Amino acid sequence: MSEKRELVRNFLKEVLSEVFAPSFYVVLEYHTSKMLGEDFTDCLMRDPRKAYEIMTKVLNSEYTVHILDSLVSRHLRSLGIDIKDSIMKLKEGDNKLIILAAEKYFKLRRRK
Amino acid sequence: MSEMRGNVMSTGIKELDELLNGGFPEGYIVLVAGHPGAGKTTFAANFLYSGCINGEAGIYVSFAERKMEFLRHMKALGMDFGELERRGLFSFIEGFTIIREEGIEELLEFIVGILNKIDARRLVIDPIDALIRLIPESKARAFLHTTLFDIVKPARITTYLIAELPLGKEVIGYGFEEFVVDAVIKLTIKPYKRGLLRRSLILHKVREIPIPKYEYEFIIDKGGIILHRPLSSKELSGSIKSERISSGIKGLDEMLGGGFFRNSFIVVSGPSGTGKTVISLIFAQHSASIGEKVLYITFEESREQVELELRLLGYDVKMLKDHLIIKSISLELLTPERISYMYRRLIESYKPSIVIFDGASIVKRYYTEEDYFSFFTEIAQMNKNNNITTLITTIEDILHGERLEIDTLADTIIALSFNGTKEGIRRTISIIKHRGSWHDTRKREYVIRKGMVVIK
Repeated sequence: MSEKRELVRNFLKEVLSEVFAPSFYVVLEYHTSKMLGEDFTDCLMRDPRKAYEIMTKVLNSEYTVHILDSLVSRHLRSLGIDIKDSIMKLKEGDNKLIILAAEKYFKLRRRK
Repeated sequence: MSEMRGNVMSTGIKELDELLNGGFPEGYIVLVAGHPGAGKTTFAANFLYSGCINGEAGIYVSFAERKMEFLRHMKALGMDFGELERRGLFSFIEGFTIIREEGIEELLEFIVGILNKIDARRLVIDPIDALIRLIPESKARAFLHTTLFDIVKPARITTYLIAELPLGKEVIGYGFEEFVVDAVIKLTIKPYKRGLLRRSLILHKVREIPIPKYEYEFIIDKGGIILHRPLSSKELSGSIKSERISSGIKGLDEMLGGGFFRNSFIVVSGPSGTGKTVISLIFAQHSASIGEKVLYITFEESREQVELELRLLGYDVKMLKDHLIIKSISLELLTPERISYMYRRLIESYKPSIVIFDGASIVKRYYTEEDYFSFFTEIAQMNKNNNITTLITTIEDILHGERLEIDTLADTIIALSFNGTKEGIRRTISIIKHRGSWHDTRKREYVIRKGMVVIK
């Protein structure tokens, strides 16, 4: 679990920074720790719906989260990883796609 | 007004708070851009200190100055951040030198950790350039707008971002920072006369608060930044009183229809040797001897010289000491705002009822004509507000056509001059203007005899 957690955490840190805003993951961490007293990735692993809710709060709207999801999908596709809606699936309580994306992302990187 | 804007956070600079209706609204991001040496660190320190002493914790993230230097400099200005740190109200983060973009995240995490630990309400990052220059320009705006602001805005942490402004450059950083923040303040340092440097502050933008774009000069003294700003119209409350006060010269009082008006602004003007200083000293001595509190400021002579002149006129200086303060001020190393600040402090501490400026024309030699006029306009307003009667002496020979620049400020103008006759040169005195009263319009001759002015 903790290895997977680290993988997802590093994946989010890197990808969100790349596609959205530098160090944006710190923002998510900050607000999660304020609201729940825990790390954003821990929250995502434990309660994906809650993680989605936090993202919506930080980004002020579901629409922005949707855009973020599209940006992440497009970025992954450019790397050769065909995974869509990994963030939007959190809303349904599903974090499998994000975990899968993180695994593929680092696997690809190790290969390079 | 402040209710509509929510809580406001004092800037720690009294005069700036007055302009901002109390300070910046809570959660504002303020960009403070300035030239090297313009006072950016002190400006930010004022903001943090005013919060800390009222129990609002603050953090200073510095890429420019080491902690010990900061503590020492600010203590010298009367801000003891060391003590506030011991009380858990202040934290200074020495921003390590970051050479890679990834380092920003580490630093941000660290800052966030401290923000949470001391529950900070105020944050300063000095300079922000150190962070955003590591990021490609396309990402820098996103970093400020999304990353940094999404931390401080929702938490309602009021933040100062300091930006370096190279001398001679006016555009701040990448040129976009000023568009993403709530307020932009520019601090500049410019050469003045005689090699003096003059600091000024411009409020470029403040959301929700309509403020005229005006260049406010400021000085740094005990307590940090002291802004010099013109008195607003609502502050102009004083006026001349109908009560008369004697000039100490019987004949002059008669020419004035009973003496000067209390709270009035009196100008005694005439070329060298016409007796301006004697008239001002007689007025000072007489007023002090009847219990007025007189502040006598000379820009030309030493205090000892003025005391000697008083003794030569036959007055006992020691007897007057509780009622007559003589200040000799050399303008050589003082900017107009510094002298204005000194004057303000003098009247606050001494609380005079009469102020005399002897040799006021010398101000023109040191400052620009505009500053000369502004300085005495401010003095006139300030003194009227504080129920102070003012007498100044200037060197213009009005009767021979020389223009008195401050004539519009004066309630009373007394012109001194010379008249050439077969017997030699004779001194003359005329009342040119005396608002609200009859006055003698004749040109009269006068002599100075045994410490007295006798008008013929």
